[in-house]
Amino acid sequence: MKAPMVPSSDVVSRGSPGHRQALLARLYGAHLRDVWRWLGLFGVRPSDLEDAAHDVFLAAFRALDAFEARASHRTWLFGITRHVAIDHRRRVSARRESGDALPEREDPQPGPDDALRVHEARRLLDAMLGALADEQRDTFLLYELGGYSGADIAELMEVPLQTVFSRLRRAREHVEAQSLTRHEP
Amino acid sequence: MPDDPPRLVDPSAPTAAPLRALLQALAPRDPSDEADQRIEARLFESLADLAAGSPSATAQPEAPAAVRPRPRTGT
Repeated sequence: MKAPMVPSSDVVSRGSPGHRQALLARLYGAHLRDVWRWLGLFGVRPSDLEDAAHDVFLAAFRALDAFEARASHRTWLFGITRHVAIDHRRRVSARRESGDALPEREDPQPGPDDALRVHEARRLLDAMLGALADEQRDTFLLYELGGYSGADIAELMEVPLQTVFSRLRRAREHVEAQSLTRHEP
Repeated sequence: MPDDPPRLVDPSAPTAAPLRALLQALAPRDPSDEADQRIEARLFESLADLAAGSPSATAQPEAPAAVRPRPRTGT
């Protein structure tokens, strides 16, 4: 049976462990889908997504007292997710360099052929995005793969909409040029 | 407010076929119900460990620096 994350009591005082746990449960219910997508967009392997999503919400729980409401909870979670994704990618990279890499588990959703195709596509796209600044790369991924609107990305990254479009334009020019180079006959 | 430009995978966008195919292959998926339940169960266990002061819970990652309180500047 699934363990309920929300305390059984409806009466929890603000700032108490029960209140924080109830808030985390609400954040989880409202934002898991976004967090999962962001992690995937930012290069966390499909087989690591569950671990990474767990780490995002646990880090959020630990940091709830520091939340200052200058941004929305969603924007705040987005910032945490970006850092957790970087940590996960670094750990995978370090394991690979030390020869202690865990083999990529098969993604349970698509078939093995699909998983291999996605892995290769991601490797190719990462190579094409490698020379971009982080902000340009993330904007490109959120817009082109994630399907987020310019306004949504502006809110998540806490920048003006024109900045989003400027980053997107530069990233597109770079990716299209890279694609032509790599796919020339 | 300017409109969003067409995405590179949109049929109306003049995207080269190889790049379009590459981006289409990477369309994100949502978590399955089973994954959702597994993550929530693990999270609950971690919170219980934290409450109990378990060493395994304290080995979990700290909140990233970006979400810690920022030092106050000015007066």
